[in-house]
Amino acid sequence: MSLRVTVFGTLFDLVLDRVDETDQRIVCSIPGSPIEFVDISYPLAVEDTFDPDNFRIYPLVNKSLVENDIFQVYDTTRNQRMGWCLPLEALNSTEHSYANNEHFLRYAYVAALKLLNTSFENAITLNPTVESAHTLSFSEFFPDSTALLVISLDTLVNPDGFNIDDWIPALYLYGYVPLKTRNPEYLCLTGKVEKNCRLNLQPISNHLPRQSFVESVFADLLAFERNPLLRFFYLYQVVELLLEEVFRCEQSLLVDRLLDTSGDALKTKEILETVSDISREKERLKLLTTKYLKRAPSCERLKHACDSFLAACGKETPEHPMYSFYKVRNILFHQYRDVRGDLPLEEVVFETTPFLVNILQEFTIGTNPT
Amino acid sequence: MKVVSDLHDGRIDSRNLLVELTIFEYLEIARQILDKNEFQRRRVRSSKTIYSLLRADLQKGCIIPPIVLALTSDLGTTDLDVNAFHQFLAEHKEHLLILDGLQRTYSMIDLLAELNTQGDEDAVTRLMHHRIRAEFYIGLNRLGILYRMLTLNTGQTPMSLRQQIEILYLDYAGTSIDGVELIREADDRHITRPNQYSFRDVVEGFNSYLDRNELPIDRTDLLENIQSLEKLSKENSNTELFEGYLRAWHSFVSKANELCGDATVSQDFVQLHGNPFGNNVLQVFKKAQALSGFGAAIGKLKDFGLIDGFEKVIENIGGLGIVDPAAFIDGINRSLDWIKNNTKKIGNAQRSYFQYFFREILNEESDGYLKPEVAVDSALRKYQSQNF
Repeated sequence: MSLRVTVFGTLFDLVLDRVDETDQRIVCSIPGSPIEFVDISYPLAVEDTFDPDNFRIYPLVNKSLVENDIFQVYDTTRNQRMGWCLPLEALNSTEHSYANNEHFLRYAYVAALKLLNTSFENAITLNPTVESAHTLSFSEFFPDSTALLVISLDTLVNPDGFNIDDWIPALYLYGYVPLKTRNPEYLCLTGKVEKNCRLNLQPISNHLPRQSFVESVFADLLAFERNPLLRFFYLYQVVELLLEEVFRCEQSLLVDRLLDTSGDALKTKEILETVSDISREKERLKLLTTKYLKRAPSCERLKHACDSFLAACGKETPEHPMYSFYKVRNILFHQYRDVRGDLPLEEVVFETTPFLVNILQEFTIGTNPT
Repeated sequence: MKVVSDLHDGRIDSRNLLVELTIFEYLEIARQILDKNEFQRRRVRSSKTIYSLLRADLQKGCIIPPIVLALTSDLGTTDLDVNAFHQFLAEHKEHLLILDGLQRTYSMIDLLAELNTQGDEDAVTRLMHHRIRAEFYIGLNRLGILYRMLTLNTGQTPMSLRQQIEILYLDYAGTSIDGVELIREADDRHITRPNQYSFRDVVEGFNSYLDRNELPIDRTDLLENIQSLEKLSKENSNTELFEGYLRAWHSFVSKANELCGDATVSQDFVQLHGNPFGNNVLQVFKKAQALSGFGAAIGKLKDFGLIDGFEKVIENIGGLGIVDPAAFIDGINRSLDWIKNNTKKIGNAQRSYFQYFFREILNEESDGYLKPEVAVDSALRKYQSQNF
């Protein structure tokens, strides 16, 4: 449904009537309502260069959002700007740093028009009450801390294939999640982008199955969970998904190799000795980071966090980072009753999140890592 | 034309006549009032087809809701004979104003022109003889007009907030004190001299004083403002208060300008923070946020019993001192830059900051009394303590 207002207790749709730049407003009609028109404040200069049909908007929410958090959004795989991310309040103000930036103004105007022309079935929208004489702002139609991601389809290689779910983990690292039906008051995620920076985003790998599950873990579960133990649990569900893919691939390779060496008992025995590499979870974890990524990530910070946790539990610290991570996982899942207390688990979760996002982005099947 | 009802509106103390007349009789008077009246809005170029639908319906003889008009109080008399109302209207067209039904009026004019172009005389005749109703408020003053316009919203494209503010405060636009010049948006001139101020910004600042609230005027506040102004006009003191506010403000700006001279924000600041809120003291303080903060601050200090009124403020301003103007300008821009980067609504936060700033420099009991350089930082700390 489109944006709606409440008039004498009844909901009515808003329809764009005209843009009045002189009086800094967008006039909307309210068909069927006893009040025929309402203004939405738009004090920015109108830059109508772009065709709104070539854009898509996605409402996001960020608890740390301030009016000046206006960022260009880049696809780092192509070093290509694909849009802007701007707070709704930025459409209602000329006090932020981009009020005279012509590129921002073009996107802002598109955002304003798209807001009146987009259905928000899966997001909370508010229905402000219209009195006899009223000026609204766009921010009154959404919860506080709502931002808009405005994507230009012209900048995409495959506009029809664009799926916002692929970009959610990257946005999560900046503190943004999609605005959905859950009240963002309960959002636990915070994130602050440096001033004058841009949002550098990379989508998750298209070799991954079930992207919507990954999106849901970040947007619906992690973002609203404060407890570090549960946060680790949710993150590990995504790890499990990756390990499942590793197992499937390795199993397939194993079968192929066995078939190739059929009749050669010695070679078959050698191959069967490698079964433990894929049957043991910690070995699959190691394989994940050594064989299934386009670029191997840095594990230093994660290892340091895991080692600190293990030391606090009185455990030895393995040499390989993924063994260390796996050991933490085992303690939490199987021995939590023995190690409760003031443990540095937050640090582990803090380092696991960007590490995991990186893996999701670099995951690959069938190419050797660099 | 015949008057079918004659009632009194107790809210706005005005006589209200309901009149039945032909479109021909209506357009005779309406055409002449469209261009002349200072309050009358521009024609709306609507992208919707609703008015073309209306034109089609009029040709079929539809009954439209009454057009609402006012005969303003400039008339001088409301003592009229309803039996000679038609004559009365003809003699006083220049005092007429359309409150509700402007776009319907344009639709009728357009339709008539269209039919004339088509040469359809029968249709023209039918249209001109078609009867409509109109309500006339007799002897309405400006406040009453605006009140009725704001509350009569059915079928009307709302007047913009800017226009409403200008109408409401039109009496003050001609205020002239100490060489101060108020520039209206309709004047289409830029503010270039220290003694020039934006009329709308000054009005907002004055409103902040009345409300003791530095936040911008909301459209729904205007109804309350009208009531406040009505009260003030009964006390016969509204223009004096406004003049007092303006004199106090101008004395502050003049003093600040005298103390800071040509000092501008430093290059170091620009490199570190980007564009400043204001390059020099005039650019900083001639913005709406500062005016509103000033108004709200004076109002609150008055309520706390810390100052008597504007004369005391003007007296105190004479004692302001700034030791290092360049550092002061950098300092206030630094505070405002923090606000820009850390608040959810920058404009409102800036207004609140200025309110704390002026309370600090005008309150004898504060550390920053008459010391803007101290107030620059303490105002920010106060804002942060109240909001974070």
